[in-house]
Amino acid sequence: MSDIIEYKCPQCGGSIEFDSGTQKMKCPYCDAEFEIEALKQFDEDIKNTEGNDMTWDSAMGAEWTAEDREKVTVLVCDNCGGEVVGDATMAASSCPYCDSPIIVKGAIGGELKPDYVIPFKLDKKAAIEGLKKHFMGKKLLPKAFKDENHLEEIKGVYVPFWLFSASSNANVRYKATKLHTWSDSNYIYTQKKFFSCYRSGSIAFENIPEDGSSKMPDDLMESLEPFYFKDAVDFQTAYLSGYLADKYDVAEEECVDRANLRIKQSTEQEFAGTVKGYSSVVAEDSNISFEHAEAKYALYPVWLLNTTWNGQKFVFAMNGQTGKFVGDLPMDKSLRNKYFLLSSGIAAAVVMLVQFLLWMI
Amino acid sequence: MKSICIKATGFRRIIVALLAIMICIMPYAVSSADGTPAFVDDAGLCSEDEVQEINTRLDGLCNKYNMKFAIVTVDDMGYKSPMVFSDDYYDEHFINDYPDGVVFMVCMGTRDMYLSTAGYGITAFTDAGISAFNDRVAEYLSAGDYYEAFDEFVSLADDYVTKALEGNPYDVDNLPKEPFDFFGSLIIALVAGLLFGIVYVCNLKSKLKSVGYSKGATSYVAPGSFKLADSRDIYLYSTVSKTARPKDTGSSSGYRGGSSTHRSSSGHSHGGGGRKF
Repeated sequence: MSDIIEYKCPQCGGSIEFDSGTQKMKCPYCDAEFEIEALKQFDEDIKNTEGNDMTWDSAMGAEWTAEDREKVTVLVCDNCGGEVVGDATMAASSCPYCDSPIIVKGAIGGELKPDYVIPFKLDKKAAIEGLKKHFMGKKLLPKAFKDENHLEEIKGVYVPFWLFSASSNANVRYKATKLHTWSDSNYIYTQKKFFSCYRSGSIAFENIPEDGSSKMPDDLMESLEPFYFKDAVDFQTAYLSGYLADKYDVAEEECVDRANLRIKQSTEQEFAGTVKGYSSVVAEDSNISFEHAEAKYALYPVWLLNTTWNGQKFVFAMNGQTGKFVGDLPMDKSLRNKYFLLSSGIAAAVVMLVQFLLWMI
Repeated sequence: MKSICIKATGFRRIIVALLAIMICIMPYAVSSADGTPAFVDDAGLCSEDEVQEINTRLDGLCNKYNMKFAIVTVDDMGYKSPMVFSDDYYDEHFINDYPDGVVFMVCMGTRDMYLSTAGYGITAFTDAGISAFNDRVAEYLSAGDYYEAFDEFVSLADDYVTKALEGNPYDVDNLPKEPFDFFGSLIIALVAGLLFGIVYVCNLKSKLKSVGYSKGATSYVAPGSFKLADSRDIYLYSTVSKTARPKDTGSSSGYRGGSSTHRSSSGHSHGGGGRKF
């Protein structure tokens, strides 16, 4: 008995002792009994699912060439200070964020040049249609909001995204339960059996986009997803013509945590699909280690409309590739009250009638 | 001769007087051979007009079904149990002319009510039916609404016998309808309406919201890249919890409805049931 390992009770966390009577491990605190072999394996699985190794190779980062610099200019907004990139031939335009006029600042500097671009698949007409459709069927939307919106001001903007791709090995540990019920004449018994389920394998993710512009709300951009990388092409300045492009001002490193979290969530979810036959499955811990992980820099097409209404800012965005339209809308409180009273009244009347009919039968 | 005549005249007078008294005392003895009216209000719970009206209605029922429907109110039952008192009352006054019938007894001294049935009355008033009747009428009696209680008895008795004649007497799974509970239903309807309104408006509100973080990155899993290399399920421990089972009530398990009967002291078979009010 040289290798005495102290096991922790999976139920209460207390130190477990060997019980000579039952020849099992027994927790002196909560009285739970365990097979020695099960505890050994459980301990091993805990060790296997601890910690992560999620490091990324940074983007290759080609810089703008001299030729590019002639074709691309940086424009700056006097009002909000936003800097966007546009085609050199671009006429005066307005800021996609605050709608103030923007002026040419000069040539593009030494920043990274995008690796890829998904060119706009949907034009302005489709964007205006999308916005109109977005307003449709929203019963609580104030009528004035619909009418006062300047649909024409919707702008096509290339938004900078960091694309994270990684192939990884993962070990995930789940806590799963099975319920078994039976009864005698006096009681209904429910037995809850706890299992530790260990899964290990590999999974790869391709081009998870994380918004690299501080001007773009991250949740708005994630709501536009998914973007499909199959339409992406190598970046060329020609794609900028007619559109504005934002420059990244959130470094790749700052987006890594969010990407890692999403990978972890999805990995645990995918492996959970193999934990079958239980009434509940909850991921306890997971260890993910990347084999090959890299980030790319790409421009994705987004139609954007910034408006203010009653002193509140509203942003609407359409995925320029898929047409998915998002943007929170204001609520008309008097309409809400009207619908509440109306629906409650009708429901109450119906319930009353049903009760009466049931009584009649 | 003369004296005999006088005697005879006196006797006739006495007879006439007695008859007149009898008619005065029991003006409503329409259908009972021994002269007991259908409604005897010894406890004095109703006014004369009310007694008369109920008697008329009870006699109407009597003619309609050829069954006796009687009510008796007393202040005390003379050390008899409600069952014995009611059975005896029916046997004494009605059983010979009406082997089928029912008597509703109310004793104010002990606050007992009892329904005793005989003949076809046993068929029409099942145990469950009697229990439902008692519960309904006890509410009026407890509230002191005696006339309403007897009025309810007349209506229910009519209803019970009609149902029985249709071959479908009120029983365990076929009880008489409670009156429509307007206020109770209104409260349920208002609460349900309120809940529906809240859910509906929340649903409308949620349609205005379309921005939020996405969970995970499932759309970006490389097709076919997911490979499971190892899996192991270990049983750790189990817990057992118990909850008390709802106790079976008599009616749901063994009780199958129908009428139970007993024999009264005079040997007649009766059904019945009562309660306090």
